[in-house]
Amino acid sequence: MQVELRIRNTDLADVLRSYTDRRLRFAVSRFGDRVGRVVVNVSGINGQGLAAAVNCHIGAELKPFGQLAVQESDLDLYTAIDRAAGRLGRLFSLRLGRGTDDVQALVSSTDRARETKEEKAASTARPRRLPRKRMRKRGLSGARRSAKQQADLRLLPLTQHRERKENDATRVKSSEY
Amino acid sequence: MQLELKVRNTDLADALQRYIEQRLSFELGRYGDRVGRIVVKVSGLSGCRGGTKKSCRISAELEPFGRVAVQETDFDLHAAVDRAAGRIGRLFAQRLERAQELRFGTQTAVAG
Repeated sequence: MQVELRIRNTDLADVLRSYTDRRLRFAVSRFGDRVGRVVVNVSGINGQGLAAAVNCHIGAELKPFGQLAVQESDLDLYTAIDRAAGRLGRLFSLRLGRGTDDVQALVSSTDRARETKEEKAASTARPRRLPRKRMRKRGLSGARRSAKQQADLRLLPLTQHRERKENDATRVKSSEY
Repeated sequence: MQLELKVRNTDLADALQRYIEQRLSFELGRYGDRVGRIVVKVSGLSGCRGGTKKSCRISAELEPFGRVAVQETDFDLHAAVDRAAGRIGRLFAQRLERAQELRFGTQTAVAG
């Protein structure tokens, strides 16, 4: 197929501007007044021995967060513009946190799973043994108590520890008699 | 949205030609060798209210039955090209169907 193109009385830059405007409106118009000034730079890249690629750089103002920019290169000018406009739309969405309901649902389900796992681990874990020094300080030296008993003791204040120690001593004395 | 476009080191006519070739190969590719030389004329029609209208005229050779041509106008050049390419694809189908009817008898015409 041989195609011959003849152009008359037409400003191609204007044509390209209208095409770019349409693609950008399709991508970012849903963000309304958040979108400020958009600058599109289209330039050719001359490769050595390769076909000339086209680079499309789009810089856009996202009110009130600042500037965003994307860049795409392709052998076809229209493809580069389409891809860059699509990326800009996704970037806007990412920055504004819109359209991330699915991601939030995924994160919340992950958090829920982690919480459940932690609860399960806490219920099955053995209570931590007190260090020997602290056991001695609390008057528990020499007493080889079970882990559960230690946990109970750890929760008691110091005065109650003393009372408990005295009770134990009297019990021993009474058993001697 | 305020758009500012800057073009450097790029031949826009070449880009437009690629776009038109892509559209035409999509529409006419299925006819293979039946498609001969295609001439696409793009021109601006001044004097239209609300901007300049663009005209796209596509003339293609349908071998061996001669040439067919379509013309579309729109404010958007790409829309005009798309519509003209679609029309010429349908025109090819119509012409080839008619030629087949003439060649293999007129069974459908008799039945009708």
